[in-house]
Amino acid sequence: MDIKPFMAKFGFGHRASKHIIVEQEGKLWLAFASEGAGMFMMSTGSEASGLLEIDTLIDGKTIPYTYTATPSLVELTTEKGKVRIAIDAHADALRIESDGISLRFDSKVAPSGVTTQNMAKGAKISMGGGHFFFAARTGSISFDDSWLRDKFHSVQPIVDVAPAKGKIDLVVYDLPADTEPPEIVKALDSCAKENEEDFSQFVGTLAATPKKWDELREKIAYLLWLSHRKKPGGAEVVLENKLKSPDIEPYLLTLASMAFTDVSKAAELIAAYPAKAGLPIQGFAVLRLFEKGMFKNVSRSTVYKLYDLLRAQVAWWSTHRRVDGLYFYAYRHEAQTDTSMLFKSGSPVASPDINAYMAITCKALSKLSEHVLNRPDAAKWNERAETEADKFVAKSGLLGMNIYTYEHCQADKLISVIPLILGGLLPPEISAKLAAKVEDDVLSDPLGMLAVLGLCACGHKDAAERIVNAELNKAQDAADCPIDGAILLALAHDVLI
Amino acid sequence: MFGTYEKFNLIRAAYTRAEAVQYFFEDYYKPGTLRFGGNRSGESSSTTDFLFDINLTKEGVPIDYTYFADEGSLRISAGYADVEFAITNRSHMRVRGDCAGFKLKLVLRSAMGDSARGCRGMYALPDGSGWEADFGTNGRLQFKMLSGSFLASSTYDDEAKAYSYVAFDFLPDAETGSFDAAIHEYIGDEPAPHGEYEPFDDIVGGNKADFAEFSKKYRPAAKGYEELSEYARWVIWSHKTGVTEGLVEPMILFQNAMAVMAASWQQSYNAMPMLNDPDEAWRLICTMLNYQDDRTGRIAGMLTYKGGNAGQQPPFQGFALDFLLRSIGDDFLTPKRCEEMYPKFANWANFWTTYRSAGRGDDVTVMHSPHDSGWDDASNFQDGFPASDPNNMVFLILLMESIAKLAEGCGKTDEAKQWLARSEKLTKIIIDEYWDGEKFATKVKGKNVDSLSLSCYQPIILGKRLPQEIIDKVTEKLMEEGHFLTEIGLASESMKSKHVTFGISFVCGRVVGPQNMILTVGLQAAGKQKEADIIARRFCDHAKREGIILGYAPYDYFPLTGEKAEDQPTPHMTDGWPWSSWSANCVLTMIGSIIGK
Repeated sequence: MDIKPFMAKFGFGHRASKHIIVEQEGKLWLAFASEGAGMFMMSTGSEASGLLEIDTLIDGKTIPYTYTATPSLVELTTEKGKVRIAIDAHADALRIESDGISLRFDSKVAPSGVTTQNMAKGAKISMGGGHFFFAARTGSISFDDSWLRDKFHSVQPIVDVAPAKGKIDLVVYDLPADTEPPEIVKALDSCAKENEEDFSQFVGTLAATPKKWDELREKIAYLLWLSHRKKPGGAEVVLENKLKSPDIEPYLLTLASMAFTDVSKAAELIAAYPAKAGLPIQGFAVLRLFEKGMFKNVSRSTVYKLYDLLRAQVAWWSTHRRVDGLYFYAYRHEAQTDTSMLFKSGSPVASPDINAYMAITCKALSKLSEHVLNRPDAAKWNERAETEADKFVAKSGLLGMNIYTYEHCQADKLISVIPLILGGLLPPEISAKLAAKVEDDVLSDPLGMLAVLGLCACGHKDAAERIVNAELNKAQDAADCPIDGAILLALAHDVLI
Repeated sequence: MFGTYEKFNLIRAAYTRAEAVQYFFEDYYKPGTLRFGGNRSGESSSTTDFLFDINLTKEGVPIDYTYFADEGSLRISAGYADVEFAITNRSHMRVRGDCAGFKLKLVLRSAMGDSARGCRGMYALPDGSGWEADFGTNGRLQFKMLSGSFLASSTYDDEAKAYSYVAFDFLPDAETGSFDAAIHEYIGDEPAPHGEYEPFDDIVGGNKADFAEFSKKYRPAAKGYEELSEYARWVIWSHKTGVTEGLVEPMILFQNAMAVMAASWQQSYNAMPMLNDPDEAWRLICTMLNYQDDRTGRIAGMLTYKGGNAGQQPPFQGFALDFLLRSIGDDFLTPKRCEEMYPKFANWANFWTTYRSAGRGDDVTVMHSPHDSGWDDASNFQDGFPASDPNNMVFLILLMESIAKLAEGCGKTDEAKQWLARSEKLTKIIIDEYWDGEKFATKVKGKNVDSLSLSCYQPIILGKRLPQEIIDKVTEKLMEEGHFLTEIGLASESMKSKHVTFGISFVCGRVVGPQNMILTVGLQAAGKQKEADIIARRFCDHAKREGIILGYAPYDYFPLTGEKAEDQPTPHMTDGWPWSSWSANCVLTMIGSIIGK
């Protein structure tokens, strides 16, 4: 699979690695997954997403290259020979081999906070929150690690690697401070093959889609596979862009979870951030797993994590964001979507979507209690789900409403149709009205996914199919980000199959 | 203590109290206006979106005011109009006013014009108790009126998707002419419960009592330095954190409003003058070991409310403990404490000798970056890295001696002997290999670095472990006027050096508190009390005049060339601007243990 279309924005890498090769203006750069805001005196000092530009040289002069890229291998081609790059997942390193071509890794600027060191075993560069350690198994490294005393950083890092006996075998490690580089046990080709297999297996864990979308599915799979990151504490999450931020909003992760057929994986993503005060859509994702008959063989600890999270969400929203039986948003950003219409009546605003989310969360708690945990509170949660759905339909008329003045806000594009997710809890005449309001571009917002699934839940599958097909046609070449891609895969599966 | 008509104002000092995140300071760019902010996010006051102007208001209209602050409260006044702020250590502040109100106006002053984008929303609390506003990573504020009334005003720019105006007015009761309010802050999902609101005067009294109790940790100041001592104690007290977010024990922040971090070695600096409270001194020396890497023994270099960083700072704990033991004896080193801390200290020392080993098969170490040494731009690192720096090694020597003491204290006699032997061996190496007859030289690739850094004399902290001729030579160099010794203390780089700078820099010319403290303690330990006294007085006399700043420019010209020196920095987190706890603890060590002894 050709991943060149992704090289500028997302790059080449591996789910388990922080190393990324990214393209900027036709050249490849060595980059590092974002570690977040730097501490004291640490920044790249550069707008570039890459950190070290990769150049090919012969006799000290740079020569141009073209390149190809697949999920497992990047290959540079010059008129004098080739360079191959793969990730060694065992050694957590980048493997680079060249037949006769010299290589240069040049930061192009002297970033503030960068410290470098020429060591017996190689060249160490600490910059932008990341650490590179270059070790030549074959070939020789030249590197100036001079220190600029009054600038508080080393000179501009430039690593030159020359072949020995016509070959370069270079390893670029990602090592924590004060760690010996691990032994290299696999050939570059073996590493590439393993990565190809790992990626193939990963594709198999994603929801099936109609055959005509196989190519798109594979492209989205690459973005998802690449964008994995292990949080401190061990849980694996998927990011919007590994180059830009190490974090993701919990609700986006929950939406992305619906693309996975592996229920343990899906549950892990849903429960990855125990944020009780965030947008509570985890209940919807859990309920969906039950409704699709997927909630089987989930580990007890994961089930308890989900149960505790949903229960904590109900408790928090009931305590801090509920008046007269209506849930409200105190702040615009709490809704995670465009609230410009919603807050025209001033804050705080009882909003249709949050009330729907809470009813669904109670429904999910009921399912967990009844079918998995054998708890006696299943009926209580179910009753609460139904009561709350009835209440907010009656009180708010499904429009936003200032909870103090009772002034209704104007209808908006998305928030007012989210209650479709209530499915059978909504009177049919109301769901019909809402279904008619769903706009064709509803998927321009990730939360639009819920509106589309809500159309299905309320028996308006035709409309859902039309919207999903249109979006799939638009995304022919690729999705814009892994989360959007996951949403598309989940919808293609749930709506079209 | 601080005020419009006091010796010092709040332009360079941030006003707060222990275990609070809110602070006040006077705006350098708009003198006479106090600003209010908070340091939860770790952002500097010179770049944060979370800063309010404080207006004193009469019938809602801002009027000019003067201010006065002490450890109890901060008061702004104009004639009869009076508003007083009392910060608590329970996540809230009380405000009361008489014949006046006050306004908090959120203002980001930037080249792009004023903005209130730091606010993400506000609403009236459903229980009717007040209002709440959200400020993102700076947390939330809740405003509650005990008497009087409150008005929240805002303008939201739909196009910019941000607030362009946010203000909160606290207004007096029409009948009584006064008001009483509480401003709570919190981060996370919900505010901490606060219980009943006590009388305002009780909070003021409580703050004073807490400061007085804190002050008992310190020895009386030398005659003539009593006022300076009070300021320095107040700085440290007001920089003390609570146990919150990533901090498992109270720490002393470096700066409250700019470099909001707890630096590793500074906790041990803070321990040194607390001679009346050895338990707290011991806790501070050990506290960073809560953040020790199990694999390598490394201790995090800095902490913020959010966690630690990947660097490290020098092994200062031994120097601090050596000073404590010489000053007050070892009664506080119980067998239990020794048992608990011995392995951790040992792992810390072994971090340096393993991961910063010079590869000679002994305990000689190298620096990989100047941040390892604590002296970020010292000229003894001008030849690059790895650099074998005797300063770091003398801290390691004293750490090894301390470890021997701890080993002895928990009955590990053989191990104590081994650690002592290591310290003695390294001492001999420092003397034999790093003393060039004039100074202790840093080495790069075996060659001495040609440097006129003050840090070349820091090994004096070995005191009488050094031969007398070295002690005498070091003393001679330090006391030579126009070399390192200036009218205001020891300069971090000799005035004869071409590298001297007084701009935004650290230890390449400025006269800095930590080095003056370290060297005067060292001189005292070496039997050179008279000289230590002279240096300490010069530094502390200057602090009395200029405030408790970390690093002072000794001249406005360069003595070597006669050229005019750089202009001094305006508000910036650099050493030359704000008051800091690091300078305060050095001042307290000097005025409590060096001057007049």
